[in-house]
Amino acid sequence: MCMTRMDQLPEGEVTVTPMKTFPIIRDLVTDVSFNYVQAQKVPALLPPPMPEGGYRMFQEDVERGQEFRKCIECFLCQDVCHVIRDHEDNKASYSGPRFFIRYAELEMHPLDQNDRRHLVREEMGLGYCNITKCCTEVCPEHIHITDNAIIPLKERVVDVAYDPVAWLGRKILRRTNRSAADADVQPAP
Amino acid sequence: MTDYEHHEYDVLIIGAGGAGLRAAIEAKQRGLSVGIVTKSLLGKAHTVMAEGGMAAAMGNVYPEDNWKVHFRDTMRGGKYLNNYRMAELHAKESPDRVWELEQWGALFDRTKDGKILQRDFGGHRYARLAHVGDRTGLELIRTLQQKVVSMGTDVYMECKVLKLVHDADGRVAGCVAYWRPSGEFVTFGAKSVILATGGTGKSWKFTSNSWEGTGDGHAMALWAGAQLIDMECIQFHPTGMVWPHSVRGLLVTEGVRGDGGVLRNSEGKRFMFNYVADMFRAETAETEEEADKWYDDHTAGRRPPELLPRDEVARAINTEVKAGRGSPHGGVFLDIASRRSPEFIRRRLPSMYHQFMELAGVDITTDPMEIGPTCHYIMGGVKVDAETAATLAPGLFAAGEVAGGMHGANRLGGNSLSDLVVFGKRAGMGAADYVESGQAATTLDMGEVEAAVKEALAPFDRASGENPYDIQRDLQEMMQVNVGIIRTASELEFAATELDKFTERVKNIAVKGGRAYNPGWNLTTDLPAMLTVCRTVTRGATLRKESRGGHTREDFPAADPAFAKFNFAHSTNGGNWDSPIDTVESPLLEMPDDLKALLEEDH
Repeated sequence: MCMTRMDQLPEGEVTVTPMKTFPIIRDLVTDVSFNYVQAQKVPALLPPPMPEGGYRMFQEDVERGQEFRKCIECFLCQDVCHVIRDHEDNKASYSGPRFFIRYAELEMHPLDQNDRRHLVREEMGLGYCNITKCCTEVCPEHIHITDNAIIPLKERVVDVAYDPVAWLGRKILRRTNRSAADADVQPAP
Repeated sequence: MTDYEHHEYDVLIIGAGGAGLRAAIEAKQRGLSVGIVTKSLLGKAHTVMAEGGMAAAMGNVYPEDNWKVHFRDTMRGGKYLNNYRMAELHAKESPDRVWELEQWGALFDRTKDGKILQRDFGGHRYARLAHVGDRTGLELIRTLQQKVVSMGTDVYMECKVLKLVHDADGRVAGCVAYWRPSGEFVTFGAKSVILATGGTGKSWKFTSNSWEGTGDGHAMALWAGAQLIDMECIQFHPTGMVWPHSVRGLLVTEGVRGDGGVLRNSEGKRFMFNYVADMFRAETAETEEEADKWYDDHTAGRRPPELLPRDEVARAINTEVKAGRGSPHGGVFLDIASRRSPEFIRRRLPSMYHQFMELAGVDITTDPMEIGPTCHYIMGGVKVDAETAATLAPGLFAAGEVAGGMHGANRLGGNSLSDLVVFGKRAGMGAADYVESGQAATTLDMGEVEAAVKEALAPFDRASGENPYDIQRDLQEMMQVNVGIIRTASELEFAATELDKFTERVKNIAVKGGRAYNPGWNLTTDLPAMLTVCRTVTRGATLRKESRGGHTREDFPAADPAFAKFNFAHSTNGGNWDSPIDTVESPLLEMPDDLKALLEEDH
């Protein structure tokens, strides 16, 4: 994909085409604003107040999220994802692999108190992903999008949706399902 | 008069790197309306290139670290040309700026007891760089980007600002820009404008800067009535890749030389032995045999000359290239392949090995690298007030690489990321205070808008003329050779007369095609800024008849205390890119005695 070297291709004419998932503006330039719209839908991190001297987190706990934060937002994973590449109308209800790793990162964040599982299932279309791993194959940062983000995220979402104890807990405790718009603006320390 | 698409904000921020995004958060938290304009996409800023970390005296690894030591290190690194107050605020506030990033989702590497891990870096007395592996800049930009997005800030992407616009009373009142996708013009009215446009490296042939680094903000500030200082102080890395093209500008760590890599010219000669200055003679090996013993046992021989200080190595490379003994693409050879086994190289330099293999198809275990001095960072920039980031143009603020003073004559590694957030926040505060003070501008001078639009469109009207890419290439070549890492009077004089010729050439550019995504036209609109920056750099370099920090003169190799008392400050009267530039000696701020005492203390 983007890292392919010309000298690795067979002799002769090379055909380059624009990304298929996004509308063409001109030549090879596509309009990737879909991704920025999806970014606006992500409820922000909600940490507890910071204690004196900073938060304590451990390397093995932050490492899971750090893998997803390597993402350079090239959007190749979005381009190859069949759910939106081949079905334009799915874009309204599907955020795509780039944002599944973002949701996974927040869900695995040691400080986060938000719960996005309902949102990811109901509005971000996690269920549409049928784990073909196309996204993982093209990631230039070698992020294990499917194995380390999407599958664990699916498991968590299923837990909250079908676990009767969790269902009851939700009824009683009404855990927060915040949207990005009402995420707290944390004052500077 | 044409009707343009128009937007109004309390605070308009030009540039969406670390400084611009941090400023946006601050102004937004004050309840003001904020717009961000970037010629690139959100999250693609040059900030992401910073690898090492963010310097902040948190004392997580060395409890004895504190702001006073960090202040001293910064001033020493800057060869005392710094705005002391900026260095002081930076040292005091950077720990809080790091901790707040964590509240917004940043995941820094940790110490064993769960605090933010800090690493050692050149010039810092203690290990104080908060980091995430080697991608700290990416972490910073993502964190700020996600925060800005979650606050619902308006971001105008792929929108290139041409010029700042005043109101009838001469206050900065907004800007005129165009959309890269359509080529349509757009105006922004703002009560205050913050410049956060980054650096200027793209005026040099070999640079680590990405395509955005054309000095737009430096130039626009000058045109709008602000001053530029220390423009001669530019950091060049002695060993950046010059070939193949796909890795041109990629920096090669000094570790390659530390692990046995040597520099050779086109004749295959290990030339550094010819460049050992008297003051280093006692500690430097005289023969290859002696030098080669040192790598395994530092007591068996003296240090190889390849490990002389960076200026010495750069001067030697520069001399070899100018004597015609350079590599085919204008550098010299850095050879580790013939000296170490492939296993050793892959084990000791894994990221270098992979980078070159993956991006360039160069196998550094079998082939030498072609390297040369590479433009990396400009210390100079818009003169600002330390507390508020206000420039001398009313209503205009500046933060990040585009601002000058913080780093003096040379920047310590790790101090740039912390600079972005410390002064990004301060610029947001300063701009917000200015807006709330009620003295802000209200209406754009449409005469200025029309003039800028007319000038931008002129190249389409010329039936024939020069190609902008030819001019850019010639300019980069000229600056690399004559105003590069090592400067001398004759070359600087030559550069000044060449720049006058470039000015005439730019006025004769012809552009073909439409305005939608027309890269030739986009470049044409960058060239006036690039030339303005080059003129101030050349002027400053000519006048500073000494060597200090990032400014090295072949004809004045030593630092001269007489030059340690002021910055060269540039301004222009006409407001146009080809207006004459005035340069004055602007005295440094007088440092209070308690801070002076810190500089002398040995911590």
